[in-house]
Amino acid sequence: MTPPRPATPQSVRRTRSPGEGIVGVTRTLFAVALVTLQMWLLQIGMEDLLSGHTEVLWPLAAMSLVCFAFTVWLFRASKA
Amino acid sequence: MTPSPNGPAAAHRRPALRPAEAGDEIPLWRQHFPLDHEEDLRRSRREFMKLLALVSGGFSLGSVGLVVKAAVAKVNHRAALPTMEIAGAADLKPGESLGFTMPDDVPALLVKTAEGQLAAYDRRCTHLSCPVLWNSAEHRIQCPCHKGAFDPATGEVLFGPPQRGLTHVTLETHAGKTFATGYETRKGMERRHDST
Repeated sequence: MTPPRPATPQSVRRTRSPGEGIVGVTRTLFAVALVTLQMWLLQIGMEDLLSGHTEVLWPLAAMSLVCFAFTVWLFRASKA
Repeated sequence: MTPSPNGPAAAHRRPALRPAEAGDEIPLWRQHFPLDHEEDLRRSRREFMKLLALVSGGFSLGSVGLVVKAAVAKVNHRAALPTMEIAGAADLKPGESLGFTMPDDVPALLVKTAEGQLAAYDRRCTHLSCPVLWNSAEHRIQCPCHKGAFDPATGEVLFGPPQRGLTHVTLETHAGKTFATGYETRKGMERRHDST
């Protein structure tokens, strides 16, 4: 019988519980959606800046920062 | 050091990789570099999430940068612009345009409509800041970058990606001379309120 290979970070990474994959994929897709939303917010902000509607820039920046915080939280929650 | 039985070239040859077997001693180089080539190319979900977090941070910085830029521009525009005569405006015929530069180095476009009305606009497209051009054949102001078009009389968007009208340049006429006196900010929003 072949003995198991020595544990490496990669072999440890492949050991997942059954529900973890779906949760991880959902988290990743949610992070992708957040980054896409941020890109859209940035484009809207540029248009507002150029057309002189500067009063909406603060809420846009705040929304973008909230998205960033949420993305970082999702990153930290993801398994190594 | 013992000499290699196959000569000096064989000493530098890479050892053949094979699955580990019982009793094998893991070589030192394998302990230091435990990744195979395929595993080295593999990107984990966490690494992808890290990339997403970095991109997200970049977008956030960009959004905050827009706020800072708007605040700086607001401070700079508090000082009233000097009134500037637009040379050559009197020679414009209906359906013609004239490009000029405002005192704060903003490019602008003066248009004389078919009805003889003079109107001037900040030349930067409200989509992505490309300089707009006068299309005399179609009688409209056009952005060459993404095919946006604006009404020459009002500056409103006719079609294309821009969401807001061009910024108006306020004009005054004295003794047959045309002067640019400043900008009409939030013009698009005012018109929108007027129309409702």
